[in-house]
Amino acid sequence: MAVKFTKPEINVREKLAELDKPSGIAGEAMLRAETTAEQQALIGVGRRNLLINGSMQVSQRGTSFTSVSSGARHIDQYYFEKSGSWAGNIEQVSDGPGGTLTKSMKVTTTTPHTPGSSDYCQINHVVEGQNLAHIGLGTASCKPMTLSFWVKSSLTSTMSVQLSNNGTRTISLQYNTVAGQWTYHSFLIPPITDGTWPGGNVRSLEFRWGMGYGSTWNGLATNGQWKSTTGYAGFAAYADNAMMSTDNATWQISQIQLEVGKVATPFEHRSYGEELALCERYYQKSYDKDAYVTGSTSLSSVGAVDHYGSSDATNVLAQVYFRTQMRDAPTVTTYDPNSSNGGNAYSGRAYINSNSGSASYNTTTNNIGTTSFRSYVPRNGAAWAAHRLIFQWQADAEL
Amino acid sequence: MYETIDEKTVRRILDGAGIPLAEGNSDYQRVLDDIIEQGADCFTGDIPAELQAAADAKQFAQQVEAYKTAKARVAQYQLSVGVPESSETITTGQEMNMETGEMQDVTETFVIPAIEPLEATVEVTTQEIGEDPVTATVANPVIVKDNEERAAAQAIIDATPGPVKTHVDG
Repeated sequence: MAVKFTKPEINVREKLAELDKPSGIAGEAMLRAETTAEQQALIGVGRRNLLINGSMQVSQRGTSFTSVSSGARHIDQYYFEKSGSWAGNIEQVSDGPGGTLTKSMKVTTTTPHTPGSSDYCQINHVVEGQNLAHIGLGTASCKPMTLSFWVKSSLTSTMSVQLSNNGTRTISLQYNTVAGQWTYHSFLIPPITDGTWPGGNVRSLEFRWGMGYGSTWNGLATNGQWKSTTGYAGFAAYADNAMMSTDNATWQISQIQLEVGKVATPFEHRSYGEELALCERYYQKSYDKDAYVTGSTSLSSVGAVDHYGSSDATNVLAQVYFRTQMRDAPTVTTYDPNSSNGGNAYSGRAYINSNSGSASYNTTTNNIGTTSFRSYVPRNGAAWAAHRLIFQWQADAEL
Repeated sequence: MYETIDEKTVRRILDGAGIPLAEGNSDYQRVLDDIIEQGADCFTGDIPAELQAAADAKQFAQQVEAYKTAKARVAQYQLSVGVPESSETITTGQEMNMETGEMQDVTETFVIPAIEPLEATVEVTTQEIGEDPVTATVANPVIVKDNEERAAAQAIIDATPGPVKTHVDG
């Protein structure tokens, strides 16, 4: 008698073996993804961090700033704002979440102040509208985002970061610091489907890390939820104000990342050169890397425009090209390298080789565009003779 | 203080910076704000006509926005007064009129319940260390804040120039 065996289409033994494969929750999610786009979203491939200089690597204006004033720029892409008599310092320090090889921004209170009702103290960052176009802010198809960063404070306290457009839509995200320790925080930011979110090369998404807030701004009502606001008053920040009201209190931040998706992925490290180029779209200077606008240098200082050439009938002029195309036509200030006087240049405006008339002169800067500008001083000598013009410069197109 | 360099640039006298008249430049926006706030006092010489026009346009836009916001605030109900019960009839669909053979609207009337006014006063109890609690009756702070915001919004409406109101209200 012949017995006929038929091999089943499913090998039950192999299928059972597959069940033992160690795939965690994230692995299961990857297996369940139905499209490549879903898989990409899960693992966050490609350029992820929408923020510039989140690692605090680039600080073209200097590394230590005392008694900082409201609105002033310090570490690239971040600026400080305050109201009230609080005073403090801001530094770029070699103490980041990755140890002394990584950087962070450090704020230190030197004149503590318990905020009055309208007082505030905060570190701000703004994202250019066109860099967020793919998120669809203010539309029905807006994608969720995730914000993550590391914070270290000398105090154990409760603080918050606010995201906003021009003050009509705001979300407040609360976090705690532990004295003396770097702590990691990540927040899911739900889609925002209404409000005005400018595109193009202008201000769009604004961040405010609060050191302290008076009652006008304080009072967290909707942690982690978007709310409509009329201006910034009542934007429901939260801070226990310990940082603002404690002498010598410190607060540090680094590795700030905003990404599309519901999950915080590891911080995206970019090279210094890459980050610097991104920052130069908003601010650049002629000075050498570790030389800054403040402080006098010399005529032979590195980076100075040293223009030898013919003048036109009335001026000794130099055309300067930016290294990176700027966000918009910037505000340009020239500096005499000898004195660091703003709006000046050093010029031998009569003849190159005779120092007759060589001095610091007021410059006129015009023809300013996103790629270049022109500066000149009035000529004083023979028409069409060769002249010399020396100056450092900075160009500011910050948001 | 500023002075004109040419039709596309002004100089900030404080530091000699050249500021391009570019919409997206934050210093240019500050120039416009200074013209709005200080007028000719912030300029050496005459303010160029185009710059003055840009400042006027910015001020007009700011006033339009402030007026709209203030109107919306005043339109909200007053917490101390509340809102009486009302009804609203809306069209929910259409149906065939069997007698005329034509389609007609189907309407439904909804009753919008009243919102009671808040209590004008509230009791606040405070206690100092080692002393008995003290209870005081004070004006309801929510109502106080509501009234202050309404008054501020009304002040903005009252101060808004006629052309701005006409632009918004038609």
